[in-house]
Amino acid sequence: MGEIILTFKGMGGSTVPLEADPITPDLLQLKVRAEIERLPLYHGNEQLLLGDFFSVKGERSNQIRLRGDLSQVKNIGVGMQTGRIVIESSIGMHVGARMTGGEIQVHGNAGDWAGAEMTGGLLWINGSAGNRAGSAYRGSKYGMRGGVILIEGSGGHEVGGYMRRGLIVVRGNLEDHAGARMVAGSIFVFGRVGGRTGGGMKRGSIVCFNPLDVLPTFRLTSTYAPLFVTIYLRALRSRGFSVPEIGGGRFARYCGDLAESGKGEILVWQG
Amino acid sequence: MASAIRIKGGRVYDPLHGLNGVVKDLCVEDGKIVQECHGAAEVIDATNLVILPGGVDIHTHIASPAVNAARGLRPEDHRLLCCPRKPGLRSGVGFTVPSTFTTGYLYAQLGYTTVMEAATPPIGTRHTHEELNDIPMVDKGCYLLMGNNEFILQYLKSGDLEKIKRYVAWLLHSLKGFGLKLVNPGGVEQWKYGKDVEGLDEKVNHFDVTPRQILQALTWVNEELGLPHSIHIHANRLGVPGNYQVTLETMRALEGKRVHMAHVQFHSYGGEDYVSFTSKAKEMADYINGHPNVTVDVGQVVFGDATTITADGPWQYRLHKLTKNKWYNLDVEVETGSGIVPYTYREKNYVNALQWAIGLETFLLIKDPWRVFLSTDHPNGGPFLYYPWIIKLLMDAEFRSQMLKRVHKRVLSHTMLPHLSREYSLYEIAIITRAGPARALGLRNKGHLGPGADADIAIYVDAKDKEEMFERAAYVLKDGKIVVRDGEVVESCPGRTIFAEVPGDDDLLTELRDKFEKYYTVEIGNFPIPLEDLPFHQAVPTGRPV
Repeated sequence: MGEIILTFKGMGGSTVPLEADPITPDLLQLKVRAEIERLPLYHGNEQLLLGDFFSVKGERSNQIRLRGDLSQVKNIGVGMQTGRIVIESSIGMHVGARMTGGEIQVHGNAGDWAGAEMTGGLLWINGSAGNRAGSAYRGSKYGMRGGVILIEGSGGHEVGGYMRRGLIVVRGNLEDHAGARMVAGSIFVFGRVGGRTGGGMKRGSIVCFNPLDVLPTFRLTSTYAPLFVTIYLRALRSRGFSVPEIGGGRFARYCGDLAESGKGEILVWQG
Repeated sequence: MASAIRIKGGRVYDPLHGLNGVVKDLCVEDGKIVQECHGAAEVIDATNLVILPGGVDIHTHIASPAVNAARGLRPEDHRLLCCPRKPGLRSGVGFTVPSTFTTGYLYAQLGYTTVMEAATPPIGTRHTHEELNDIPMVDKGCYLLMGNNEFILQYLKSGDLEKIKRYVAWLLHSLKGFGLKLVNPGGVEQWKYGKDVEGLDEKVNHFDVTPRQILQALTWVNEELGLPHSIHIHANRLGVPGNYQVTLETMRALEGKRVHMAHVQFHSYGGEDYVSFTSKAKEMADYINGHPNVTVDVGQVVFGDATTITADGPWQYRLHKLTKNKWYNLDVEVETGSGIVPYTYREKNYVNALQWAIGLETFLLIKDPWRVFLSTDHPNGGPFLYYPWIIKLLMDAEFRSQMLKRVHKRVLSHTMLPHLSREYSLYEIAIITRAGPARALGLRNKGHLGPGADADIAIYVDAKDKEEMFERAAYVLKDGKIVVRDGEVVESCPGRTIFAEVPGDDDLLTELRDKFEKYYTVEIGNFPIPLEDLPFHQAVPTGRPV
C-alpha cells in the first residue's frame, strides 16, 4: 500500500481558514482518487471540494502525506483512529484533536488546540505548538484522556489543561497555566514554564527541568530520585525523541494543588 | 385560503374515542379535524401507516432563564448536536439543552405538537415567553413557580387564603401562565438560609408556615380558580434516598383533590443512603392506583448525558457535591431559587441503573395509562430525543430484559422488572403520550382526533422496532399543514402560546405596588406581559367545571 500525497494549492490569497475534517486515514483509505477529490471541505461558509485546494496523488491508503503551507488549514486528523499522517510544513488549529489512535507527524509548528481531548495515538510536533495543546475544549470536564503528544519546540498557554491521562513532553518552554486543573497524566517540560503551573491540579505529575515559581498552594515534601522519570526518559530516547542527560536525577517534589485534593505533584530537577 | 387534507386508509389510534387501530379516513379543514371534507382535498395515502394525535409533553424544560443559563454553562453540550441551517429553517445547537428553534424542530420530528415548559419564575417569565415565541412547530405554555413565593408565604402566615387566590390570579393574568407549579415547597425558601425542609410539617424559616400548608393552600387556589390543569407538584426531597415517605405524605395531604405529581421516579426512593438505595415504585404505584385524583409523569432516566435544571436549589447543591460537576446557583429575588448541574447517567452505576429501573417499574405498575405520562423531565433525566427508546422499552419486554442484563448487576435483585411481563400496546402508548396528558392539562382540542380537535396529527411507519418507528414521523400535521415528511421538517410554523384565561384583579395593585417597591428589582409596571408580546396565542377558559 503506497501513500496518499495531498499537495496544497493555496486558497488564492484568502486568509479564511480551511476546515479539513475529512482528511483522516480512516476515511481516505476507503476512497479512490476521484472520490477523495470530491470530498466536501468548508471554506468559511462555503462548501467546496477537496480537489479545489489539494492536488491528490495515490489512493486507498492509510498513509497520508501533506505538502504546502498549511498554516491556515484546520482540523487535520480530527478524531482519527488508525493510520499515519505526515505533515511536511506548519499546520493550523485542532490538528489531531479527539484522535483515538494512529500517528500524526508535524514537520513544522502546530496551531492552537493540537491534540485537544485526544484519547489515544501519537502526535509528534517537530516545531512548536500553540495554546491549549492536549487540553479540554471549553466547558468539557476533561482534556486529553490518553495518548502521547511530543513537542520538540515550545508550547503556548494552558497546555495540558484539564488533562485526564496520557503524556505530554515539551523540549522547549511552556507559557502560563501549564497543566492547569489537570486530573491525572504526566507533563514533562525541559525548558522553562510560565506562571501558575499546575494551578488547581487534582492528581498527575508535572516534571520540570528548570526552576519555576511554584504556587503557594503547593508544598515541598521531599527531594528524591523518582524511578519513573528515568524509565520515561529511556523510553523517549528509544523512540528517537532526544532528551537531555540529567545526571543524578534528583527532583524536589511539591505536592498540590492543596486548594484541591493535593494528590498531584510538581517535580523540579535539582541536578 | 381553505386548506383541506384527507388522510386515507391509515390505522387510527385515538384513545379518547376508543379507536384502537381502526382503519379510517381522517379529514382536515382549516386547521381542524372535521367529519367530512367539503370540496377538493389533498390526499395523504396512509395505507399501512399508523395515525396518532400529535404528542403532548406535560413536563419539559425548554425555555426559561434557567434553561438559557444551562446553555451558557455547557458549551460542551453544543458540540454534541449541530443542526445546520436549511431553507426556511434556522440553525441551532445543543443536545441536552438545544437552542430554541432546534427544540421545536426536534420535537416535531418525533411527532410532538404540544409541549409545556414546567417551571418559570414569575420575574423570568418575560424571558420564557420570548423563548417560547422562538420555539416553532409546537403549541406551548408555561407553569409559574409559586411554592416558595415570599408574598404567598406572607399571606399564608396571616391566614389570608382569599388574598393568595387574588395574587395568584394576578400573576397568571399578568404573566400569561398556564398553570401553577410547586417546587420543593418551603425548601427553596429554606435554602436561602443554607437549609432544606425534611418533612411536610417542618416550619419554613421566618414565615412560620409548613410545606403542608403551602401545598394545601395552593391546591385550594388552583381549584377555586378552576384552572384547566391540576396543581403541578415537584415534591420535597427530590433525589434523596428514603424520599418516598414524603411523596406519599404529599399525596395524602391532598387526598381527594386533583393533583399532578411531576417526575415521580425521582421521588420513589427507599433506603437511607446511596448504598442502601432501593426502589419504592411499588408503594407509590399502589397508592396511585387507589387514588384516581392523582396523575403523574415519570421522569424516566436514560443513560448518557443530561443537564439537571431545577428551581430546587438545595438538591442541586447536593448533586454538585456528589458529582463534583460544575454548578450554577441563583437566588431569584422573593420568588424561588434555581440550580444547574451537568450529569451523566451510567449503565454500570448502581444508583443510576436503579433509577432507570424505578422509572420503568412506575410505568408498568400503574394500571391506568390515563394517569401516567411519558416524560424524562427533559433534560433532567435525559433529553426528550430518547422518548422513542423509552417507548421501545415499554412495548418490548424482551428488549427490557436485554437492557437489564447490561446494567449494574446488583440492580437485578433490587427491582421487580424481571417479574413485570406487561407490554404497552400502541393504544396505551397513544394514551401516555397524547390523550392522557392532554386530558390532564384540560386541553380539549389536543390529544384526540375527533371532529373539532386541532389538526395536530402524527403519522408513523409501523415497524417491529418501536424505537425506529417513533424516531422519525412519516408525516406530522400541525394545524392541518404538513410540517414534517419522512422525519424531516419541511415547513416551519410558529405554534401558539397557550395560557389560562384568568380574570385580572386590579384591587390588589396598590398593595402590590408597595411590595414591589420594597422587595423587587423591577417596577410593577414592567412586570406584566401584554398580549401583544405573544404574537401567536390562545387563551384556555377557566372556571370551575360544571
